[in-house]
Amino acid sequence: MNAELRAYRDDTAARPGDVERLRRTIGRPKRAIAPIVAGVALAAAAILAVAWPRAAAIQPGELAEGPSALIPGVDVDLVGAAAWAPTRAGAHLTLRSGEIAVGVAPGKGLDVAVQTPEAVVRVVGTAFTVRRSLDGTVVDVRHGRVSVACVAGDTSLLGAGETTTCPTASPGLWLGRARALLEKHAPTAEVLDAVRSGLAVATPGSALAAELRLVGVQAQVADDPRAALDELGQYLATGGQHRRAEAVHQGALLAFGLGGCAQAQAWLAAVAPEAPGEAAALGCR
Amino acid sequence: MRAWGARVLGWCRRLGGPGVDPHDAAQDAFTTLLRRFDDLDPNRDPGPFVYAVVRGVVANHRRKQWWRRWFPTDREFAGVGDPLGDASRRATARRVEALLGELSDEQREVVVLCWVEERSADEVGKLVGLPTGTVKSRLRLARERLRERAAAHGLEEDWPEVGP
Repeated sequence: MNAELRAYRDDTAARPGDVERLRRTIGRPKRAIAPIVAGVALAAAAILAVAWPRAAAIQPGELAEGPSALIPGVDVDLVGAAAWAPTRAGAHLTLRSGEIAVGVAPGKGLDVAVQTPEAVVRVVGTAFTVRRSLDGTVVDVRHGRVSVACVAGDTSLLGAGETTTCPTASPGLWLGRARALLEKHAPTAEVLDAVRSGLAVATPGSALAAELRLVGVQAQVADDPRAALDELGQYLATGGQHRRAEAVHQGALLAFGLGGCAQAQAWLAAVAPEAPGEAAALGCR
Repeated sequence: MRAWGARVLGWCRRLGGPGVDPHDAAQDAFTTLLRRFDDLDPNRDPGPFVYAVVRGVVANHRRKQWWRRWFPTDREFAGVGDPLGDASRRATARRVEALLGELSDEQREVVVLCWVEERSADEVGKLVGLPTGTVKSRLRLARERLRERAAAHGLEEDWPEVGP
């Protein structure tokens, strides 16, 4: 043990350089701890003040589903797909699908906008939900006031508890909505509204426009078969080629049902002379 | 100053343990000594007076070491020599230091002064201001504690005998 104690004694013995250093420091003002503590505290506070909001905020770009704090005062809850970017006074969100609930702290001058293909919803201090559906973009305001500018041209100011829908600007979505309404046996007028809205934004003569018209025909067959036959005849007479054979067949059946062979043959001769076999298939000579 | 510098630094290092900056404590000790220079009796041995000041300063530094651990300190003294030998010696010294850390302040004090600095119990009694018997009884208690704990620190158990 003596050797171990000697090792300790030698290791803890002061060298001449240590004594000289001590001699130089005696009488000098000591390093004060209080200013160091204050400096460290100030530096920590400054780092927190600068870094905390950034650390809490998520990176701009694609938003993950679920709740997120974008910047201090702006909280969102996403079910779907969306992206965001910070702006000078707030945040700009782009909702592609699904639903996003947005909470903006009032009184902080935060400017938050949610953009969809159909609308731009802009808010200063409120909470609201933006949802994309077959109808278009649906905005529900929980509290505060929200400005909704539909791409179609309407701008409205909504208060707490109010809802508005910006209709979809995509003919494909209108077609989907019309088909969905047809499948769930919605009133014919609703289906035809969707068809007309789709036709208003679809390229004339396109397959989408033709499909919309055929869905409109299907919607009318039960309620107003004569109108459906007229619509089909108009489609075929104006050179509609999309699903033409099927349209001719359906029209021939419809005309036969309304007026027998005479009407079927007359209708075929007027709108589809290229298909004489259709009448024969119905047993008409 | 030259006569007492190394001794005061050594006391600060050994009594303070690893949590105390010996340079810092020694600087405080000499500042206090200079301030109280007039209290020193030129006809008496200055040892007990210097030691009492150092012991008080080290005790203060140990109380503050929780705070001071956040600041850089210079606990090591500059050694010169064989690097490998130094490393081995330093490792042993660290183990001894850890073992001494298991003693009470009173026991550590007499162990450092008697066994590390190789003073007699009588000398230590005069330095610390204690009867020689008290120094020896503290050494005996310290020895028992050290023997119990030495193996846990990888050290031998053959501590010096305490004289009659």
